[in-house]
Amino acid sequence: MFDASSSLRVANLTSLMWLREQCRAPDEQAASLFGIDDDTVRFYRDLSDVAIEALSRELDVSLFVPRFDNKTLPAALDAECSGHAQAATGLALHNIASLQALCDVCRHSVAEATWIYRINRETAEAYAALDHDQVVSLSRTLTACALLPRYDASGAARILDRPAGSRALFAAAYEPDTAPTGEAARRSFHLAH
Amino acid sequence: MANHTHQHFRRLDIAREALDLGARRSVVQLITGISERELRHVFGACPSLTANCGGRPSSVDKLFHGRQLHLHACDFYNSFHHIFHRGVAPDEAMVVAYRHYQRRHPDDARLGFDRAFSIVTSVCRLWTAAAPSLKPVRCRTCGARFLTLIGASEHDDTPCTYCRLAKRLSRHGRVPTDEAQDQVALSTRVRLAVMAGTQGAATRAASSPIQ
Repeated sequence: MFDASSSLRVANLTSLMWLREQCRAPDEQAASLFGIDDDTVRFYRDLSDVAIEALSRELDVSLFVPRFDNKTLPAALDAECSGHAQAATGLALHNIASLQALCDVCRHSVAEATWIYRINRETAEAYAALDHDQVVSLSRTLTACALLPRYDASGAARILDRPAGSRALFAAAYEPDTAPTGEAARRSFHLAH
Repeated sequence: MANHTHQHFRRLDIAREALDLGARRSVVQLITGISERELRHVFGACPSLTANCGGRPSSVDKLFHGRQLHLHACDFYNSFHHIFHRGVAPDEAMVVAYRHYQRRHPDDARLGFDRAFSIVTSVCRLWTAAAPSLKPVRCRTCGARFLTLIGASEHDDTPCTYCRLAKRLSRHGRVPTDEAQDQVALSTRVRLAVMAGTQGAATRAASSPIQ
């Protein structure tokens, strides 16, 4: 049976618990915080500990993907410099932890990051270039989550429906295509299947 | 000059990883473009350089002889497909995708690195001038991506390898029992409480009902 690496597993576990907590909160801000629809809010609100543990333990991907790509990240950083908004402490801490983990993976290996976070090479390189101060200041001013759930309600349910021990295999097969950008697009032209 | 040196060291790093993963010399040469002489000079003591002197696996038909082998081929290719199409260089995508494949099948990896290499060359025009003989398609029932022969019909309604696996696993009842699920839930609560750093919270978590 496949087991995700421990740091990825802990990050997925804590982030899913936090997502569920936000979905259960009476202020009903989860949809805007995470950019998810009402069905997905209901799904994560009702997600059991067993399901959270199963997703975190089995999948070799992050269950949260970055909100900003290489094109929108510079604008977010600029807005952070000029803006006066201040994120709530809990949200800021969550964003710091998530963004720092993302940047660490991108610095360690861009190729690993593209798989784990469903991002293209250019985005991974943009996050790898962020220094810690930029991560902290972006997290302080961002009033929404920096990483969004990878799966909507139907996507997560489809993986959870699969038998224990085989979910990573099915998740890889169900992974949607991302639009090729830059170098990938040029190569696809030559290597068209 | 600096960029050229950086690229060369990057290729050497890929070669080291590929050799660690069991690639034969000829495959490492094709992937990295490093000469046999330099490989022997740098990695002289590596057993992969002297073992596996025969021809590398290239038969595509063999992938369709057994369900397990075909499933493993699809699983490896799915990782490679996404990493490569997200802009990663093919040599690095090959190594990282194979490492992910091995991690997903720690006890029963059916594909060797050389076989995985042959799958990539059968699907893409990478490291070869030969026309592709395999193509990745999406199952119209479950949406999974799987490999099929180039000549196969797009409208084939035969269940895909993932549909068949799902059916087989559910038939054999590999879904964990309720008792096992309760234990998992309990361990999660206790672990999270411990991570929060309070023993009292851990005790309370262990005694509270499972959702």
